[in-house]
Amino acid sequence: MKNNTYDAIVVGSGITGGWAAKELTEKGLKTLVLERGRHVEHQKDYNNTYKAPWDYKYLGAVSKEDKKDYFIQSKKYNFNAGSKPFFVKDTEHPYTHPENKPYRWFRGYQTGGRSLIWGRGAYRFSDLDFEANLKDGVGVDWPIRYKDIAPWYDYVEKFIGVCGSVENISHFPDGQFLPPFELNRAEKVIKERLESHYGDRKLIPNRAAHLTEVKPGQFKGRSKCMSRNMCHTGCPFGAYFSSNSSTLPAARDTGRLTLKSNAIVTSLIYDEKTNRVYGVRVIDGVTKQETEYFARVVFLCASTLATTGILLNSKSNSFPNGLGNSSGVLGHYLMDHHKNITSSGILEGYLDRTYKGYRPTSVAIPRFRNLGNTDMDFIRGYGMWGSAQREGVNPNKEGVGADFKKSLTLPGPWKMSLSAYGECLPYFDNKVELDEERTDQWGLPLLKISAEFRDNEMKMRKDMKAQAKEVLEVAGLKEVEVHEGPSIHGDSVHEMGTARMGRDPKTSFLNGYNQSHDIPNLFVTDGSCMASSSYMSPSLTYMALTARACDYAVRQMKDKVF
Amino acid sequence: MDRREAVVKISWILKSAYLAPSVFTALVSCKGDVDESKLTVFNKEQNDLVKAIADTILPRTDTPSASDVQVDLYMDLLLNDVYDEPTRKSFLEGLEQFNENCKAFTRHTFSHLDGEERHAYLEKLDKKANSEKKDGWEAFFTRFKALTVQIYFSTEQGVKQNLDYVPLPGDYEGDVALGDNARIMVGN
Repeated sequence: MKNNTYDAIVVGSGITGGWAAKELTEKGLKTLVLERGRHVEHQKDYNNTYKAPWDYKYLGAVSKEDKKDYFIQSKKYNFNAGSKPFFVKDTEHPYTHPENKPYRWFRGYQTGGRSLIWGRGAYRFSDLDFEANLKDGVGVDWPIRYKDIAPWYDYVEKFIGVCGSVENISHFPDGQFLPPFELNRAEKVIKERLESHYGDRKLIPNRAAHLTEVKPGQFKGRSKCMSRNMCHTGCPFGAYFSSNSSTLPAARDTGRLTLKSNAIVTSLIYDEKTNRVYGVRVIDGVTKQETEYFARVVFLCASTLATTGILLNSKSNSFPNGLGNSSGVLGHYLMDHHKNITSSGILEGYLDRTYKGYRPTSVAIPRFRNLGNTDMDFIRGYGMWGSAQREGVNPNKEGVGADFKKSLTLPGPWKMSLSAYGECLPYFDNKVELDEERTDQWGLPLLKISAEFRDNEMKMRKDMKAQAKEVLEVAGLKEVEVHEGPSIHGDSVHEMGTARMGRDPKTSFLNGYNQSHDIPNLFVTDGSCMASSSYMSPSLTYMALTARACDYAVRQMKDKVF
Repeated sequence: MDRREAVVKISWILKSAYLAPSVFTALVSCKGDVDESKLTVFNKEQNDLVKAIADTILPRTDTPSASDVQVDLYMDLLLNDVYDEPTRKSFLEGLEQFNENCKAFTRHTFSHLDGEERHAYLEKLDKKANSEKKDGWEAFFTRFKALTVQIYFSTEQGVKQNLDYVPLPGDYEGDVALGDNARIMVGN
């Protein structure tokens, strides 16, 4: 037992687990990080990062066999021969959902988790988000406001490096920015046209966790972006933020980090007498050997659905429906962003301009609906992301023969495309439960996920579709097309909300410091904690909440609260 | 393919004025994922037809032709391992139909036409495929052409000999002048 005892246990090594590891070790705690997948060492294990299409057997295409093994994961935009090692095989990691409610659960079981393959958008929520539930009477009120989290956004941004432009948009707060990636000529033209037409919309360089500038001594060991746009193979320069390149090395430097791979946490060990968790049960993913580890404080950072599964699977007399679940909200109010509405068009002219390199980011049009008076038939809002590019090799171009061949090699017109992402409300019936009948190869109950977008999202989508078209037409683009595909829960990989924060222990799982209302030494800082979803990538908010929760936990430990 | 074969296959490049260092990389990095003796979907006759069509779409100029970079062999591999069974089946049917149509229009199979005739026939087909009035049977050609172009520009020599291949651009510059005769810049 002595050898398996630490000050803190962190479950998961992804975006939030990495942050918990860094913060807790830096504050002096001997910390055990349990990662259920294999180890991936920064740089050394990015095996595909220098490969060209012709270095792959199928020239980069995904084979039939892979489509079968990765039948969900292969639907992700960034799943390809290069990024495949960072996605799980669906055949090995099943889950269930009702037949009429498809659910897409994208996962990366390895050191760093999905921080290796995330979209890297890094945005601050504002009080428009934190006050929304209270104002609308939807869900529960956030127990925090922007002022509570703002210093932690600063803290996180300075460490991870976020590029972006200062815009003074009150509901889209500026941060500690590195220089933005420059807009290209077409985007500058479209920006100018949009902003002079609309009073309420801006087109800005996207805010993302990329290093665009590194001053001496900054971002230890990481260097600036070389604009290869190959992030999803792992970046040998460490130019985008991942646990592997950033937080885990920082934690390791303290000498207080122990990282165990293939360590699947099955449940938490809870003592009813003291009302404390004092450890976790682990099964080895490879050998299936069972072990227990012990600590004074436990941070669950396994990702929303996995964390919720662990809590639901931790049953005791006091908590027959999942640990810390006296409220009954655990597993409910699952949210994701709804998307799959895109538009595109051609900007004529400007053929003497181009760009050098392949920008790993996009441009953004932050939310413009329901900012003041609620004038729409839906509440909340959405944003749009996209980019303009010179058309590359176009296989559908007219012609055959030598002249055609030559014409394929010349840059085509400017093509702009946009995708809209909308907020989803918390609904009790969108939920994850344990499947009582089916287990995985480690004997753990499968997760049964049931979620769908509802009336408010569907009404919002109508407006998203109309506006995705309108903005391109306003910008004077030609051949504008708009496309709407099915909106499937989980598709945005922003699953959240199943162990939400709140003010009232009767209606929420966590307090304002990501601490269990019921059990003081239990913290949950991944997406499960979210009381509402906003419309933008939540990762930066998860990181800020994690750092803030670590600070609070260590202070409570010093005060001997637990 | 083995090294000797590779040397023979690309000897035309060595004879041409444009001798890129990448040619030698190609020789070294050839890993033998495709090989004419390993055809799985096409028989020899079908493969010859595929080659003939692909090389009419992307002929040898001062850069390699489709079959110089083994587009036909990759097409065979992808149809077997990447595309599903219905796609493979309709592709093979389309290929046969293609020859039938060619005979109906020119009185010869495609392989029996000379270079100019092949070009003229495909040009007609392509115009039809891009017009408002389609008969349905051009669909195969449209798909074949797109696949040929996609494969060609995913092969090492297809990319390096035709495009501006820059796998490590360095600092991003968002708004620069496009040089005269500039080709499409691509990375990995």
